Amino acid sequence: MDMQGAKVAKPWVEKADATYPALVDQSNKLGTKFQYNYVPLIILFNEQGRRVYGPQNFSIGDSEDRELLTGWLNDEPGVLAHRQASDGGQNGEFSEAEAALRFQYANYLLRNDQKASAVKQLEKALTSDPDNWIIHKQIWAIEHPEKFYDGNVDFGWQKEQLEREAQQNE
Amino acid sequence: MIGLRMISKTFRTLITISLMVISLGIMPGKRQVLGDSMQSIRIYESTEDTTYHTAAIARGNQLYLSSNFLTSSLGLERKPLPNGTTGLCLGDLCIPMVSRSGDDPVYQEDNQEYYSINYFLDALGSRYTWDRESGTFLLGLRASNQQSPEQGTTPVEFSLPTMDGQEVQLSDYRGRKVVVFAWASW
Repeated sequence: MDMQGAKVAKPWVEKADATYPALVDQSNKLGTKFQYNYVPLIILFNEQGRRVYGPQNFSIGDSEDRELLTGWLNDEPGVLAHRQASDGGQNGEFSEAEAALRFQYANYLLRNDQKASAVKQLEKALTSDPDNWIIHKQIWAIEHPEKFYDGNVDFGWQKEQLEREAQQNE
Repeated sequence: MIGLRMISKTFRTLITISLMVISLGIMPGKRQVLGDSMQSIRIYESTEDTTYHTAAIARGNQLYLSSNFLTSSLGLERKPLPNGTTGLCLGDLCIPMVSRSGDDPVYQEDNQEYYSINYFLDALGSRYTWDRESGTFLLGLRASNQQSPEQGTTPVEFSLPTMDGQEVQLSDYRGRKVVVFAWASW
């Protein structure tokens, strides 16, 4: 997921030597459809194409997350039900249609070389949906590409940026 | 060169005439209602991912677009309805454009009909937002306004492109379990 498309995701996919299809969600199409506002997460679909789990946060480094996934893939009974009960189900109410619309328009503006206008729309989208980390980080990535796309993601800078924003909002 | 100059001059004249016509077209004209304003507006239609420019009448929170624009650009047609009213229709889905709780969804000026796009979208249940600062009206005319299907109820479908631009659908994997892992480098 990145408004800036395949070119910024490709190095990561190649580095992971992924054997599965890597799809590009430039306009956050799935985020809108399945009502999530952060990544990383997983959504599981059964053999009939029915959604059986998620969207829920997921980290491959987390042993419980790995057990959930392998358990489900190996048809272990009840593995999802147990986890869903402890997770409390899906995300909260998704009432941020305006934010989604502005996000999509920002995407259009960015593709048409109107970066400043795109950022403005994203900032308004974030005002409508302040907990949306996809929008939040997308603004950072557009305004400070050197912190995101020069080989490594500078998570130290992100932490400092959050502190700066918190101070500004005080 | 002379030929080019003549063409150029003719072209400039045509542009000037066109601009005059457009200017006259968007002048307040005979409207007498206080608070209305004709303005040039950009429409962003998210399901087509495209923008249009048109003249529109702003009246309070309502934005009125000409029936000509609605038909030619957004594909909305006026149709007579069985109850004698006029509907604004997206395919077979028609919204009666009749006054509701004081809002007048139709506006007449200089033999041109303007329809409140807010009224239509509200009735349709479509999402929209009016960014007055940039003079842009954002709408999702054909966007599904429905919540995603409840877990386990109906099969889901979506498609996304691969890195190489090949479209992949979820239904391509019917008969197999699918794990969708959503991530970003940041």
